[in-house]
Amino acid sequence: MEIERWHQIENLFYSALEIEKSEREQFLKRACDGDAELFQEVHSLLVAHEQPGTFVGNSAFGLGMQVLKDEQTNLQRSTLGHYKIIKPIGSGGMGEVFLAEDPRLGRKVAIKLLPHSFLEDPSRIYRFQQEARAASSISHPNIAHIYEIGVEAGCHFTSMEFIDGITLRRLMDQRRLELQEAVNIALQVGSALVAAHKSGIIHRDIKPENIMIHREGHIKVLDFGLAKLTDRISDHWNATTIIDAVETQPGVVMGSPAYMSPEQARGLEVDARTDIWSLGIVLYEMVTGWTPFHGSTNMDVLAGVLKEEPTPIIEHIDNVPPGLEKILKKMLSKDKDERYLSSSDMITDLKKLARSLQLNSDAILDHETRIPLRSNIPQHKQQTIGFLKQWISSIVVTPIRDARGKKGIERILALRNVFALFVATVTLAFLLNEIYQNQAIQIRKQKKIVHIAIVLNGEVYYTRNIMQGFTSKLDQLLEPTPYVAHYESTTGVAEAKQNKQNEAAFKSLLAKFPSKPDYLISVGTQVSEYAYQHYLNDIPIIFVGVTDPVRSGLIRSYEKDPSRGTIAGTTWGGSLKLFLEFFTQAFPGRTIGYVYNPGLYHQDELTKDSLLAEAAQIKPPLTIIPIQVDKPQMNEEQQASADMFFGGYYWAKHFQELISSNKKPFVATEISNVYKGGAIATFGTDSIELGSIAAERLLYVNLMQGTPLSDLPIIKPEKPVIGINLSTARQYNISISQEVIERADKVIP
Amino acid sequence: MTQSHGITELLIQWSDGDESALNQLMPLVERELRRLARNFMGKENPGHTLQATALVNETYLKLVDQKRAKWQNRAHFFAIAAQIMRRILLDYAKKRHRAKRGGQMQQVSISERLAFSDEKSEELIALDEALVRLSAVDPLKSKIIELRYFGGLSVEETAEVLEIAPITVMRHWKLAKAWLRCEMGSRSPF
Repeated sequence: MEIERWHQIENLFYSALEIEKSEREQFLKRACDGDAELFQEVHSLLVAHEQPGTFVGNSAFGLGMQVLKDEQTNLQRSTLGHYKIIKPIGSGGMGEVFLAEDPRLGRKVAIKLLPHSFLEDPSRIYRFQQEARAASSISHPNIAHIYEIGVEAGCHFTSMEFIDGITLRRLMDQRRLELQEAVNIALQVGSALVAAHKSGIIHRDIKPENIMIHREGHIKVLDFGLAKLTDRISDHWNATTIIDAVETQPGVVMGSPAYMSPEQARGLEVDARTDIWSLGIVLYEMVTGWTPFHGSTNMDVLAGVLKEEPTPIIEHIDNVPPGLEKILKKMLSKDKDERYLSSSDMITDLKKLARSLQLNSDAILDHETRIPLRSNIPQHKQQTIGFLKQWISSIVVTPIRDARGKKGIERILALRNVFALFVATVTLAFLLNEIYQNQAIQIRKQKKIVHIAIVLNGEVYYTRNIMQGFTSKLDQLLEPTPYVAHYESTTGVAEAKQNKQNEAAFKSLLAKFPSKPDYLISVGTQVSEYAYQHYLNDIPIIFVGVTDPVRSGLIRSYEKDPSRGTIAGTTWGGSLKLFLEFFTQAFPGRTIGYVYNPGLYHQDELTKDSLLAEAAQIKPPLTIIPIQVDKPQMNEEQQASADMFFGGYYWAKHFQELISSNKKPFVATEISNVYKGGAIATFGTDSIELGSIAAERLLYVNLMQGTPLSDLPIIKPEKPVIGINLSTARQYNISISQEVIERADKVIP
Repeated sequence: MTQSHGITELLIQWSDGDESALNQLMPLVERELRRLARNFMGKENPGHTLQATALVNETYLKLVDQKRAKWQNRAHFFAIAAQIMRRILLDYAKKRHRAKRGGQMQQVSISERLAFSDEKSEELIALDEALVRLSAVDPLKSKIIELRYFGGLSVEETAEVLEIAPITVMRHWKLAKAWLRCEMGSRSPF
């Protein structure tokens, strides 16, 4: 079509539109002046124009979004460029990783999709590509080779050597490393560093997650050349913004604080010596089991990196070989000028050390010394322990030794967070108890006491998504091992879910309340699901024991409206009274409905009666309606653990003492739980003094017999699991005396 | 924030007439669209345009430094999104078309088939061809269709991008729509 012709058509079209419909044809005929084709064209356009439209905000944009989404989800099962994606094999701060096949070369590769958030800045992409290309040119047996850096469907990716093995992190989770192994690994990583540094490549993010142990036993360092992606530091970051980013953007990989060199932490220019530092931290961790700088927050960790001196390893392990301490000191010198000048100097010393340990260092570098990957722990437990440790060391439990010398209060617990605390304690404690104390029932039968106290903290509330992912993953991990089944049958969750009758019973009993209660207390996981329905109908409910769906429902509701002040706790037995007492004080004059399931207390008639008696004494009087939920069927073993589980009742007495020993009001609630001889207790109080007493009691009150812990026969658990973590102590304003810590340390192996 | 810096700057440059800024903007915006599609299009009805454009709007607000950007920049951002969408949809439609001809439909998943019918593929290919023809004689009208159809822009937003009055947009829209109806017959989406 000619442009001129088009303009002609256009003009006629618009002119015709100005004219009454009935006269348009006449107008057109005149205007076209015998040009039948022109008439036909404009006429058709006018007819088309008059057709009822179908375009009502109905653009293809949404469809495009759908296509984009499909393309990306299809990645997981299809192709990326010429690569055939086999399966996802993990994801980290640096993006998702897939196992893929390169059909052209018939080899397996790992494909790393770089997260979009790192690629905001085109110049960053450029710098990254430059460095990654440089890294891809290094060929070294201890460096995972980068094959390709590419862009496909808007996704930046790298393809690299697929290493069939596990990360050093996982190996350390599985078992403690021998000194020889640790030095061997450090040597191989060091040897990778020498090669990279010679090519001018700095890794910047050496950590156990980036060190792979090949099935054959040798070491491969991952992600050389990729750190540039996350290296915002050298641009315009300083220590404050780093801490800020680490604190506020957990998804942003800034290098892991624990492995960051002081110059990285300060946001200064880094050189090859930053890798020497990080390897020093890894070596320290492999030898002692701990990174030298730790703390409950990233800020604490960074503060340690900048200011503290690492505890000498002699305090962690016996028989420190001469030389090791010196090497670590030199690797971990805060002033980089005092560190090894180069990675080759470091290797020289490490080799000397290896020789003194009768390791044939040449053989090591020839990869003949193999690191055994399997330990004798059964597979499913290995997974679980590894998994738990991953969470526990990073977000949840800080072992008691971390509390040493650190006192003080940072935050006052918001009462509303209580239910989240409970979520953490119950879920984790069950598992930890199972894992570390699978003999608990037998031990119980032998009338011995196992000391396990795990106190988890309210920070879990802030990481609730992680926590939810965690619990669901746990279920996957543990099934079909007996643990989950056991757990469920003990608490009756499974039964409650199946028993529709309970719901009917709950409803009919609720109808018996003289008037709509201002508050309702739901005791027992079994009833919580039904109580939750009423919570949704605007009856405020205190939940004492909840099932998982209720828990997540509560969290959602709470997020929507924190003012509802949902409280849920697991106050089995005795502490219920405190719970109620607290509540009546906090909301005087309100009617409180009390729904509980006496079936839960079948183990102990005394419990049931005294609970009812206690509740009856509470002023203003409570409306008390027991709801009988069918008792779960238990075998002998389950019965025994349930027995222990409900032993928390005996806490009442001690708590009473605790409170009467101090005139100050007990403001927050207590949450306690006892399971298979393990106790989980968390205290809330507004007073440091009271908190201290509570903490001591927690450690030293014998839950079952009321005698001091120190007088009891001690069975050492395999791993240190007794402890109040520092964050919890802070959260609850509990200061822990040095004496308590020292005594507790004796219990901890 | 560092991330808003690049996009804001480039948008300003582009709206100031620096055409090379567009080349740099395209991949950035495409990436955002992909991220958006992956993160937010999951549970809800994904094909819903109103929801999708609202999300892009949110993304824009998040990405771009509001203090520095001009009010027209938002429309420019959407204009880029429209252009990208057109290409993505067309690529996809062609792929579908080829798959069908080659008898490889089993490779297209059920959910994809539901969201994207064969008729839709045909329609998109025909529309693209028609728009190419239209732009040869009247690029403005072709652009307006692109913005409105592929970008989900309103008349006012389209006017902002093209720096013309909304009433002018309507005027062009009328003819462009009628012309596409004639060209594409029943396959016209308008």
